[in-house]
Amino acid sequence: MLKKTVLVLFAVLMGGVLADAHEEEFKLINHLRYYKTMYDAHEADELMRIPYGLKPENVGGEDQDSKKECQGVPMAFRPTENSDEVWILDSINRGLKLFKSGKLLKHIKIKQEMGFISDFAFNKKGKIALLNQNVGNVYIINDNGNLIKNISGFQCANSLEFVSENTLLIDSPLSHGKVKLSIDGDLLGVYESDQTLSVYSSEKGVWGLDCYGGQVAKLFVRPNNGKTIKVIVEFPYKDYEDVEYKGGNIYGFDKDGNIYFGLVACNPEGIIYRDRIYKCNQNGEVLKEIDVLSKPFMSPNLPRHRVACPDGRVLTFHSFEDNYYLYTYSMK
Amino acid sequence: MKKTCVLLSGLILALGVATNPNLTNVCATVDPFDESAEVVTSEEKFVAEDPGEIEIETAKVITGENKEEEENKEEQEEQEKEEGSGTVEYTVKPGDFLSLIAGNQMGNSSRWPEIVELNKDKYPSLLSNPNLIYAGWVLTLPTGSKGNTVTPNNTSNNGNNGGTVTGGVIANGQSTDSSGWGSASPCEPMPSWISSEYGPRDLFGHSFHHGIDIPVCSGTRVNAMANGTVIAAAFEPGGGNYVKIRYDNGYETFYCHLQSFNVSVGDRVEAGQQVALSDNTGQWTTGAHLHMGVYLNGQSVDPRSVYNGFPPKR
Repeated sequence: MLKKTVLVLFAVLMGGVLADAHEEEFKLINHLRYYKTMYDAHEADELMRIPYGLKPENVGGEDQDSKKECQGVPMAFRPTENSDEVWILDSINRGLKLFKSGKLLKHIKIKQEMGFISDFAFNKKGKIALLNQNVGNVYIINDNGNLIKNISGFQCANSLEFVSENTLLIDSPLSHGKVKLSIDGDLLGVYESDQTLSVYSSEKGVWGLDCYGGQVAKLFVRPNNGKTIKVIVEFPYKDYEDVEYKGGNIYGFDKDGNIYFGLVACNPEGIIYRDRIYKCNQNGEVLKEIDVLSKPFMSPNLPRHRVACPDGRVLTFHSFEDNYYLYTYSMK
Repeated sequence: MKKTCVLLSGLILALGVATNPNLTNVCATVDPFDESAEVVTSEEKFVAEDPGEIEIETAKVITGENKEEEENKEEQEEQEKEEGSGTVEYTVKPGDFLSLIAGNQMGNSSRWPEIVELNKDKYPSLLSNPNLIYAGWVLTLPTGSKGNTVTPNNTSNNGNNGGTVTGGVIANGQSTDSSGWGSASPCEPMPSWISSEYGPRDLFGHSFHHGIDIPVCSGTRVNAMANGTVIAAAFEPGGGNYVKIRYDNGYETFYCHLQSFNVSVGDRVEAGQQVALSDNTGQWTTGAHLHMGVYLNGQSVDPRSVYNGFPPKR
């Protein structure tokens, strides 16, 4: 009885202490817990919204839970050279759809035999690569949706990206790295790597972010024909003893070749101390950095959640009620 | 007002813990993070081999030019089969595997890909993992095979759910899977109750829970459930730190809201190997717990239907 009484008193006291300690240090924004350093971070601006449904001008279909958590959310999106136009991979309705201001501009139908497509990429000559990660096929199609090539062997691949007109880089965990593949089906090589190496490549090589744990994140590049990586720039964040980098992603390049990426740092309780987007030139000079408030999601199967636009904005998505939203963060 | 609520909450919680003998006190038995686990430094990870040419024997290329020819060939082959004396069926027994069936029934163990080809529509998982077949499956074998079930022409080929393997198949039959599935718990220790089951719910506006929530303390050991490969290990605002593993039997597990993970993408893991520590990172969390989802062919399945080591439903 005495023990229980002591326990109860202790809990009461601890409740008071914790209330004082945390009341003003974090708050919920968009259902995420942010530390006070993030209270003035940038919100994203709505670019367009597209209603869920089955028609060509819809995405996502209708046969999903009402909040469209992740089943049915379009798997991927990419801006065109005109950053206000966005290609959306509507896997449920089997189509690649080009939208601007919520209006459908173009619709490429994906043939049923290709199955559920999880990622796509365009080269600059009208060829499109589609990835079916369940079966492990990469389909090369033209802009009428007609099959040109079917290349198998990429089960569980996460994403793909054109690194040149006829060459793809495929994130293939079962191949232990990033696979370089020609659209004719020739395997050109494998960059053995973990999740830190991206599928984004420039003349300098393949870019990556070392940011899982620790208080220093590194942007690095792996030269195309080299054996070791080259660290381009480091980002120490040692303001708080128990806060570490938890992850980050490279978002791509703008039309001037600047690279965009994001870094997230949390304390052990998962409170976000930093969610920052960077714009760097390829020599490592930081041109712009902004803290941002995320549009949260629970969609681990999506190949990417943010993409750099040619005009320097960063595109992201959100799902809410009956619409699929595209948002941008401005880096100007 | 806020402080009063917090104090009252603390009081109620304390009373609940003090008076309920049925709640397993998992916190007291959590081991600290195992610092003896192998750690690979960044420098070691990135020293790369020369990216030479890699041969993949299974790679298959169908060009636009020969597509029509291939289709005509397939149609012809199907027609020849239909005109044969009847299909031969074989019911999988515990202990069977495809090359054994091919050897015993077709006279040549290396003909097992023909079994995959004939049954891929009925059992699509054969394409992704021909190592995994289940006792009770009825396989169609090429004409001329011995079989253990013979059916006349025009027999409808009834699959289960159009070929989708469901948890019910595993429960009804003995798997020939050698991935070690079922031998390891997703977390240690496993508490005596589940805080949120798979299925419909309404929390934070989400109407369907695509996984199961296990109420464990921060820092609880999270394990690989079978032999497999890590296919994702990253952070996202919704799920916080997460790890995805693709197992040799075709299943995938997704763990999120983790404190940390000690594996990298591409790592091979064994059943029972520690891959992470649980926590409360990410969105939509009401406190420290482990969310785990199980997926097959891209679709979520009820974890209880494929693993019987969870505590009973309340």
